[in-house]
Amino acid sequence: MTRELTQNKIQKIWIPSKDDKPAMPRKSGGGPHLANPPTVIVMVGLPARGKTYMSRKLTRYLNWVGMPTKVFNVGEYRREAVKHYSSYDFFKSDNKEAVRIREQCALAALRDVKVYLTELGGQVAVFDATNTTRSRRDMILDFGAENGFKIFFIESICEDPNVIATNIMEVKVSCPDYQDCNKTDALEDFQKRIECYRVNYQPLDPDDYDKNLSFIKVIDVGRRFLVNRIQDHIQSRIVYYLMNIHVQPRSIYLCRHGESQHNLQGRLGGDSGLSTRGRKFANALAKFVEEQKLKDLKVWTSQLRRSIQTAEALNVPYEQWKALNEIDAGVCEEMTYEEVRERYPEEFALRDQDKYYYRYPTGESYQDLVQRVEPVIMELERQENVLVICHQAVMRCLLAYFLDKSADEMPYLKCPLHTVLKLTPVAYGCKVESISLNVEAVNTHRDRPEEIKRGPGTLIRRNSVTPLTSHEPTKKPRIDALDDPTIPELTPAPLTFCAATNGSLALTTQNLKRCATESHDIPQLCQ
Amino acid sequence: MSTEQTELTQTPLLKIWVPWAGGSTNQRRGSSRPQFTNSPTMIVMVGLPARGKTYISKKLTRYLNWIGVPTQVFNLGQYRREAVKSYKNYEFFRPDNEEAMNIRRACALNALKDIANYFAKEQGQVAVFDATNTTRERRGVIISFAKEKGYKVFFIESICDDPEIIEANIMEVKVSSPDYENCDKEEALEDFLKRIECYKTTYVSLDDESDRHLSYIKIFNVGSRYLVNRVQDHIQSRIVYYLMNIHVTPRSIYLSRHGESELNLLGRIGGDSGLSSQGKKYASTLSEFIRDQAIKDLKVWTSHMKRTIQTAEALGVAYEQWKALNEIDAGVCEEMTYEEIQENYPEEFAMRDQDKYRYRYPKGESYEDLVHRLEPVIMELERQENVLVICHQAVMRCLLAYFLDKSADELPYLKCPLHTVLRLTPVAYGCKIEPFYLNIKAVNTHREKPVNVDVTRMPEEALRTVPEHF
Repeated sequence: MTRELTQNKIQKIWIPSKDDKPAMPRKSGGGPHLANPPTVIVMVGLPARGKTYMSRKLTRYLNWVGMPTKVFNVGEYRREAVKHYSSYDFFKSDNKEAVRIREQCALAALRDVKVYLTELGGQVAVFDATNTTRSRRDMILDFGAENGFKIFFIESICEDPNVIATNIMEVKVSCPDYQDCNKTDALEDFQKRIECYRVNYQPLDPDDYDKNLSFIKVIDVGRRFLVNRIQDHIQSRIVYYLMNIHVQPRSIYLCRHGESQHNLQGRLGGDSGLSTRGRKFANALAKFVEEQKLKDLKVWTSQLRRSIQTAEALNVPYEQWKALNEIDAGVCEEMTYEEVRERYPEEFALRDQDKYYYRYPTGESYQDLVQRVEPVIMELERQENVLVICHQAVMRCLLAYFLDKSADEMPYLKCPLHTVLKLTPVAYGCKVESISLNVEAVNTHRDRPEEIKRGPGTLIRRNSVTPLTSHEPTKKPRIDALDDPTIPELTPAPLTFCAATNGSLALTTQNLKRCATESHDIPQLCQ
Repeated sequence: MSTEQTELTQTPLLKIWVPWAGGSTNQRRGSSRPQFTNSPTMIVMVGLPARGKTYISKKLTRYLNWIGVPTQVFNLGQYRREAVKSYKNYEFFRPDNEEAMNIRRACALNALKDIANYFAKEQGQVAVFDATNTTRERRGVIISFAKEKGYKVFFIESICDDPEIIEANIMEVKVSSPDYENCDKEEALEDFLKRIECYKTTYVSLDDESDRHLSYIKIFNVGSRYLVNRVQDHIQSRIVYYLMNIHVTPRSIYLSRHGESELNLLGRIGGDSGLSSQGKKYASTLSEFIRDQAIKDLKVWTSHMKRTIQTAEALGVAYEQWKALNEIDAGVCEEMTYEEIQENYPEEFAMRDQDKYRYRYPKGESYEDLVHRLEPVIMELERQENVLVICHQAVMRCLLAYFLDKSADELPYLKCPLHTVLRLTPVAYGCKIEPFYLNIKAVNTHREKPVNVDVTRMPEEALRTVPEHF
């Protein structure tokens, strides 16, 4: 009666075997089903209240913990539909033509949300728009009910004029709408734009109209929160995340321990001490930290000797986190790659096939690492200036979070010894500066082997923002025709995967152009 | 820039690397305990009687202690019962009863004194001040006290106006309190409702405007809504997260180990073996047991290890695998018998007996590490309703210690025998526990602490408490 179990070769997960077929890697990770059915997160708030900031950050976090998430920004749909933005008049509530276009854009975005959640394996869609009226939100609630999606609102409320002005200067005046304006004109126009929305703004009402909805109100950039009717695990995690992030300027420094004895021998894992050059790096790091003249720097290490030795040279208090320990290579601990290839040739090959999901026998995978390291990320979000002295695989995980790298890319990110990466939040993303401390060390990086072809099990490349660059396979024209007098219903547009119509080519060039002018939020560090 | 190279040494018990300074007590820079907060924190409950303040206080304290933050509840009602030996009726709580007011104020000050002592002398980190604290005046006193001492303050206000919930609370925990031991239930209920009225006249809720500089969470209607203001640090953030995940819907949690495994039979620890034939019998008996329990919407969780999954497979229902539920990693001792450990690592074996909670196997884990690893499981268990967790001995001890509020010293010796299901049901302020032995013979895997834990002990002394095996 009991089914036989086999251990799938890559993830080492025990599952009932189905007539000799090897089991496919489980994407959702060894954890619980976090969100089932799909969830639509609906942003609410006047312009310049940080909706897009929160949308993108949250999406980056959810993707990193293994929950396929995507942002659908209605402003971008609008920019595709209306090629040239003239002024705030477009947003006046009596501008009938514009109102119609804006509604079509919202509907088109919702269409794409539906496709993403029902056909493309998405779990969470973030609907990033003002959604400031009850009628708009009711329409979205109906959409959710029709499709069996859960709806969670995130409303951002802020009336501090300094915060608003700063937001506008940081991300609005440089946006494509204002590419031909100077900053002061842009600021002025944008503020008038906000007023257009304010006239009809109906905030979420927890006491009456909206008391049965699930939502969080983020007030004054996180000083205060009102949380109503959390339904499930994913909403609870989202609320926790939102309550831990902040916008104080600060920098996060990531580096590995100094070169270790095992590094010199090309051995994996273990708990060896620093080599001579490693000690030199530790001293150079101490000097570097001093020169940075940081206010209140926290220093974190793992519990492995090499990272602690490195921290000791800094002569400041530091905290040891077991969660920052290097990936456990199980039976392969302390072997060289040659020894692994000799003694466990199959394992060696499997790892190259799918390095993110591959779990060492009695060890860990990158996927396990992400789960292990998540509390570190949460605490990093809470903190201000932090220096994390960790290990190659761990650093790749952390870096992938900050730079929004996919699971596919993560295990191949370049994190060389004796190099400090300084991450500074800017606009919607993270600026990265790579600082080599000029102490020689071995190279421990193994590139993705060329002969490994990416098979059908390839992960869908997750994107945090839509629309995106040209090789996105699901690009399709979003607005069928602007002079169509009837408002299109919520039926999916005919799917044109990779169909090279003139329309999509035009969109492609449009996107490339936009990328050039928009502030670079995700610099390409590791190719 | 340091010219002398600090050598490191690994502490034998915890396996933590620390600077070796030739034996002198060096000021350690590297803390291996996570720094949740840098000053003691007072959690101050606010709310009318029967709003769940004591329930929240006790549960939160249990959670914080379990994750390693020394926490204690200071319940003002108990101080009052000490001061006024016998309670007559609600008139004691009338706002115009000056004599009673003085007594109550004195009690509050005593409680605050004890809190200061707890922080200063007993290494406490969090104190939960469980009282109504319904007036601005009283809260002002607490805030000044905390400011003077350098403590952080975090308020938890519980607001509820659903008369059914209030009455249910009163019936569950109030009518049986020492105050009402000579009354019948109806009398007690009536008196208590009048007691609540006494507080209502002077009750001032935390105010959005005037209290905007305070750190607090307001809980409305048993968690349907929360208002969170100015979370200051990590521990407050964790507290808020915890409070937002707990609920009071009746449910049961079933804890069980996997069926007896091949390695269990051989007295070997760890590994990833399959079920023995007795173990398989247990799995099918467990399946019958679960069916007979007729549990609504039961979730089943296992670890990633073969033996728990095999056990779950017999149930014929969907289950979820959690890596976090894997057995404690015995590092270099994996798959050894205790006899082999004594032979190969006698010092390690002795140290484990000296401090089983904190002892970390070389290249492995400690119970303390396990607790840290299991915290997300506990958080999700709080969110869920009926759950069956099929796990392992050390893991089950950790989970059980959380539910039954067992200390770190007791935790590693809790009895979690094979082929026994523990059903935990929340009741009043704690947890009712019912063991179900499913009558399938299995080896005993429980090793009591030996009398002699010294590294110099003879092997026989070390192995005296090892359970029988093949």
